[in-house]
Amino acid sequence: MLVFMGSFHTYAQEENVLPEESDFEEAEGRVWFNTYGNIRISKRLFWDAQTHFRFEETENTPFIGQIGQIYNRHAIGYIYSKKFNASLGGVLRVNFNTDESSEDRSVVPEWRIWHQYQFAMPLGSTMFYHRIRIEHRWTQGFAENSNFIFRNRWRYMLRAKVPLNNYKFEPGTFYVSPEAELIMQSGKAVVASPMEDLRLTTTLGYIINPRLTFAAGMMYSTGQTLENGGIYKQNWTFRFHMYFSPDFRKVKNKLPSIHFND
Amino acid sequence: MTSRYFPSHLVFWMLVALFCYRSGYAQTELFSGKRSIGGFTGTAEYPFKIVDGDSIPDGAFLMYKSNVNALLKAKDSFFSFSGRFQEGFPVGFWKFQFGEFSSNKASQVVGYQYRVNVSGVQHDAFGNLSNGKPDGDWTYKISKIENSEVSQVLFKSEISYETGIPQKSFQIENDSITLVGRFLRNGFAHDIWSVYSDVSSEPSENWHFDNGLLEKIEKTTPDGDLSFKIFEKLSSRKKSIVLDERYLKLIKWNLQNQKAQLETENMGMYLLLQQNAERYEVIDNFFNDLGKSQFMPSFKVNVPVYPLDSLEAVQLQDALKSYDSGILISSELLSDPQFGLLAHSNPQAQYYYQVVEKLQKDFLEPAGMFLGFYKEEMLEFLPRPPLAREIWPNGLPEKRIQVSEIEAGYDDWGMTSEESYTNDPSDIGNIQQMVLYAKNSLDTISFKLSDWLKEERKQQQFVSLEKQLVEETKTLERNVDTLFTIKRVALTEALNGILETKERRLKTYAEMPESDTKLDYGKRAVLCLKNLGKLAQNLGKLPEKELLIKETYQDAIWNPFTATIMDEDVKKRITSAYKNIIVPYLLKQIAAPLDCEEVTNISNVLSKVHSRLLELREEPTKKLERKLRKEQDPETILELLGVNDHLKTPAF
Repeated sequence: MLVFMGSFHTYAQEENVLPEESDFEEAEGRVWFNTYGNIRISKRLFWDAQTHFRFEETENTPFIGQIGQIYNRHAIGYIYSKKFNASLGGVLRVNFNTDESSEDRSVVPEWRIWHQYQFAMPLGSTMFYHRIRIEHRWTQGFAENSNFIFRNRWRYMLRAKVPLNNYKFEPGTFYVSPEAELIMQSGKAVVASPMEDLRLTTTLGYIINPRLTFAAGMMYSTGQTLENGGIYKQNWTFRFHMYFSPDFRKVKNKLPSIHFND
Repeated sequence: MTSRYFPSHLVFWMLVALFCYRSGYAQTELFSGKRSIGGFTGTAEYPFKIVDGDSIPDGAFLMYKSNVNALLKAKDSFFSFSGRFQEGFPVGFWKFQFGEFSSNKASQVVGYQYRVNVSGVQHDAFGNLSNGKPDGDWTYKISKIENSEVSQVLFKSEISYETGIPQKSFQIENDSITLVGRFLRNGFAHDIWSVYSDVSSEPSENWHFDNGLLEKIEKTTPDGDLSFKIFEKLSSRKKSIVLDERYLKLIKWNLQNQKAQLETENMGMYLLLQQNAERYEVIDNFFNDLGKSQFMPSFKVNVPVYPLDSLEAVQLQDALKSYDSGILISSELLSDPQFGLLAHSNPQAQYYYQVVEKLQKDFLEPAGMFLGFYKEEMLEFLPRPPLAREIWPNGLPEKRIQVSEIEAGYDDWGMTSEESYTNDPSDIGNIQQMVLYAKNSLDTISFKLSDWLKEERKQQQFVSLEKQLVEETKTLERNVDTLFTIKRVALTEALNGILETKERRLKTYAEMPESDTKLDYGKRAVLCLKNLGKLAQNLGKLPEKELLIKETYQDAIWNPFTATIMDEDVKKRITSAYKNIIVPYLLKQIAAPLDCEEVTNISNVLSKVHSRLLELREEPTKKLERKLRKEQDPETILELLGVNDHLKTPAF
């Protein structure tokens, strides 16, 4: 994840000459609390509603840190089959200025349009998922009157879910889910740092019932800074997830839609 | 008061006129509809009168039935009867047509009508009646029809009558032989009655009558011509009777007595007269059902008579009574399996068995033959000495009965009694005494045996009951053994409970003294073992049933985050009450153990709970689930689920 910090802006202008060797910044700690909602609105359409609270440590607030971003991602999804679905929607990310010494604005919005294509592949009891997500984002710094810059993000994620105490996924199942996501970016502002982020995550999940699952995990991520392609930031993130999928439709409408093409 | 303007005699005449009109109107009505008469069911149309509460046909009569659809489909039984009644008596010309046709289904249109060829058999009978009796020529004909044409005459009888009395010559024929004979004006058979066969112009059988008396029968056989004298013209008294089955039996006996090698049943005369009587009976039945008539013809004959005096008549009545009662006892004893078994193992029983056998065979059966003639009203037409000689060639049996091959200690059977008779069978008094002696002997033996056989019967019942108990026990134990493979403590305990119930029942049975109560208890024990077997089977199916309920109470839900379909348990309060309260409760009851009387009930409860659970899946259960939330009492839960059988109610 690219982090904007207005105070480094001037520094970056001066230091955007590539270093002799890749420069890996010291890893920072973050904690994310993410909720993922998947609300059925018809036989094939659902409302994808995600709200994430992302905390990052600062000098004064180690470990959990302080709120960095509140993230609202919404979309309308279309279930093509049990193995493929696609979504299109928007994101409003609220970025908080965590630099205690900064005198710039403390909150700025960031806008995105996103679309996503997700494939599910069962292999034995394990499920594999391929996710292609494309985002068109408009970002700005905390400084007063800073302009929005436009970039595209190209994301691919491979994720697996392996049930641990069962041969299939059902209520009461623990599962482990390793995932790897590569996020590439492009745009006028992107000159030498196309690899925005590489995320390697492992989570442990527990399915309470078909409508509610909790998971927690740890993610290592690294990527080039926008200002200098030779400088790589690093993060260790604790992630806590709640997945919920209520279905408010009447029972008679719910049941047949399970088997989409049967 | 009315006298001046309204004369009283006018009122009287008006009332008379009204009454006559009313009664005349009420007496004749028309029947039109479905009726069943003399075995025929079809549409009938006829006028009738009500006389003394009875309906009496009066006027033109028509009844018919035919069904084209049935004919085209397979075959049709049809009929059509027409004639006239007068005051309930059939009179005038009557015509009967009936039979059964099938069709080859090929049709042809001729003159605005569909024509279908039929094949089958048709009966035609027609002639005049006077006052319910045949009068004039009557014809009865049976024809074989092929493709709507007569292909063969199967039977034909032509007889003339004068108010019911057959007259002049007549002819009866079937498809192979013809009988020709004649009657006197008074209806008596006369002259030679001859039977001709199709193969020869000479008669094959001649019955010579003289004024109703059959003097001689001549019969042509491949071995030569035979001739038998039947009745002597000059002998004894004569009586006129009807030429019917009984008469033919008398002739049969007469021929047998002469050792004549003739089977009357195969004689043309017998066959044709019998066939004719059968045909006439159809029409007679019809008339009898509907009105008053005497359709059956009375062919009259004379036979010698040997009248019974009043004493003989009493003796015969008495003998018949003794015979009926004696033969009943002997047949019952000889067909009693217990007696038969006992006779094989016990010399005394064997002795009685042989005595009963002899009483039946030597005393009762010949007497039965003799009394049979009496019952059929033939006895007075048979000469007694030859008849008695034929039945008892060695005279009547002695009272002392010799029993062979019996161990020492058993004498011949000889009951001291009041009955006395000589061995002369021609005296009916002797026969009566002999039969009475046999009956009394059988009474005595039956009385002696009754307690013995009763006890023996009971012993046999115990033997068979205990055999059954052993078999049922083995079956139950075998079945329970196979179920012990299911590893589940509560179930194993319940199965042990079943074995314990069985054990207790058998122990109580074994300890009871032999009595009717024990027998009854044992019979119920067999039933109990069977019920326990059913309960064990029911328990064996429990795991399977529980799984079915678990699966039934699951919804398949789409989980978008795993992209899989998951089963979700629903109505958990109901399934939990079943699984965690009801089933353990019932298993515990069975393990307790149960009394035999409760077995069926608990088995029923198990089955009913299961069925009820399957039903509740589809029913709205919000209220029930709310009630089940805190309920822990199994009986209350059973009631809430709607399984109301009270467990303690005796099942049998």
